Amino acid sequence: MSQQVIRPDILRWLPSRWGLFLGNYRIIRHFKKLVRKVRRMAAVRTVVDLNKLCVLLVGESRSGKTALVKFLVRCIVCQELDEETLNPCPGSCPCCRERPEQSGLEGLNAAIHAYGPKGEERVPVHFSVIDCTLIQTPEQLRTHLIRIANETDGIRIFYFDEVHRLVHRGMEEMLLKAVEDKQAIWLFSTAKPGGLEDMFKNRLIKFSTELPAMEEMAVWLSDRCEEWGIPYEAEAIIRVVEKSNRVVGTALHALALASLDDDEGLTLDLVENDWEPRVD
Amino acid sequence: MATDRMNNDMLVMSRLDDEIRRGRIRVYRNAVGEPYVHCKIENTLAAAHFPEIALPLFHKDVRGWLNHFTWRIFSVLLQKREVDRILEVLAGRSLGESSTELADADLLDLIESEPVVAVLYEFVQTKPKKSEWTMQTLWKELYSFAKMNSHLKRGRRQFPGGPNVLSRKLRKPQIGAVLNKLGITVKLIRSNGCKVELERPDDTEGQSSSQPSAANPHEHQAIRPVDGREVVLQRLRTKQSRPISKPEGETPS
Repeated sequence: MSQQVIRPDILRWLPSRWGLFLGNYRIIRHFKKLVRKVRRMAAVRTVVDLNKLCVLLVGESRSGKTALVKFLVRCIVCQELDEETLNPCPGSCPCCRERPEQSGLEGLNAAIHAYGPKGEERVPVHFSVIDCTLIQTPEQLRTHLIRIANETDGIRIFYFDEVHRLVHRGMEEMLLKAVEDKQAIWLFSTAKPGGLEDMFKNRLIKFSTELPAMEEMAVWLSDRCEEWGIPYEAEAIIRVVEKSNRVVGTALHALALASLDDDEGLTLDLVENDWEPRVD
Repeated sequence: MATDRMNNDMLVMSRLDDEIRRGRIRVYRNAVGEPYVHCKIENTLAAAHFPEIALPLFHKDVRGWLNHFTWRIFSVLLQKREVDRILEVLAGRSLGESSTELADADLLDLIESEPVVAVLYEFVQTKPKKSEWTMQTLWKELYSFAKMNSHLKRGRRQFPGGPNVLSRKLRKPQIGAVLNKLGITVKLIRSNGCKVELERPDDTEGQSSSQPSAANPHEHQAIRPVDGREVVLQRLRTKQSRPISKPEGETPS
């Protein structure tokens, strides 16, 4: 009898350690530094001015922007982080069990989980995700900004996903004042930076996502197939890399499709004829 | 006399025919169908007086060379319309020979004047070495890229207004010739709609389009980031033939 394989929700899969991210080397390097800095501040109970840290992540859809931010937050708040590799625990600590990177971590919840591995109290880290696709009117954005202004003391991290969606009705200009005045780590992501106001972009440190090399991605995909018990053909892996234009999130769709058939798995026929990475 | 003047261009044309037969003058069409002339008069007493030229046929220096040639050989000065007639004949003669050559100046001219070429050239630099698109998606991406970089209009030409126009442009041999010269391959595949494969020249170090500025922090053993398809295929097959080593416990999301 074949060994039971625990297969994750492939389409929503997030890496659980830094080494599982593909490409994006520059962003990873700087995010690791940020993890160290914020954790050190939280440990010595010092909140210094973080206003200068406003970051814009730019890259095509599914290239890993949101995944990186969520992983960053998980590393910052994990109570059993490996201080050497900066990898978080496998989900065993009380904080990681709450999945703070998915639903946010604010107010009392942030305070409850603000403890180190030896139970020592730390400065709470508040994390809010604002999905800009759900903000239709300036009033909705204003509500978020007022809530941000009234946050309790601590380290605050705000992530505006798909910020170009606020360009409609000039809403990204409302962020200008908040970014200037409010003490927080501001993270923004967009697949369409061209539409953003220059005044807004000029206030942000910009990072572009980097695609992995072909061989790196092919090996990575084969590792995932083996890990998740998906049979595969080597040629099929190569075609997934090519058809996805080396965008990892897109390539995972092919694996999700292949996982429906435990016997055939990822075949060249499936990749060429059944899997459409883009539709018009 | 009037009769003599009328025969001057025929006299010169006859001599030019002779030079063409001897291979000292060559007329042809270049990769984009434009008439070119290459004049190289050697091994004659007069050779020292005729510099070698390789120019578009209707370039003003070709007219100067012809007039100079005529004066030295026949002590005759041609009128403008006589030179025009000679050039027209040579243009017709050039239809019989084509070349894949494309002078840098022509290439630059085409990049400057043809929005599709300019946009594609810059666009592929931002993508992986090989990428695949449907025509519709490619047109949307290129249009957006062109708009962002102010390439929607170059000279008198506009960027195609729709995917069907883009498709027609990409099928033109002249556009294909220019893109080939730039090292860009565009392959159109008719299968469940129109698919387009773009391939650009190798990156200087064979890496992905963005060069990582730091050592790869990936936990795998060092991977050579090469784009060679066969090499990658071989590596995957070797990996498949080895027993699978259990990875560290991963918590499924």
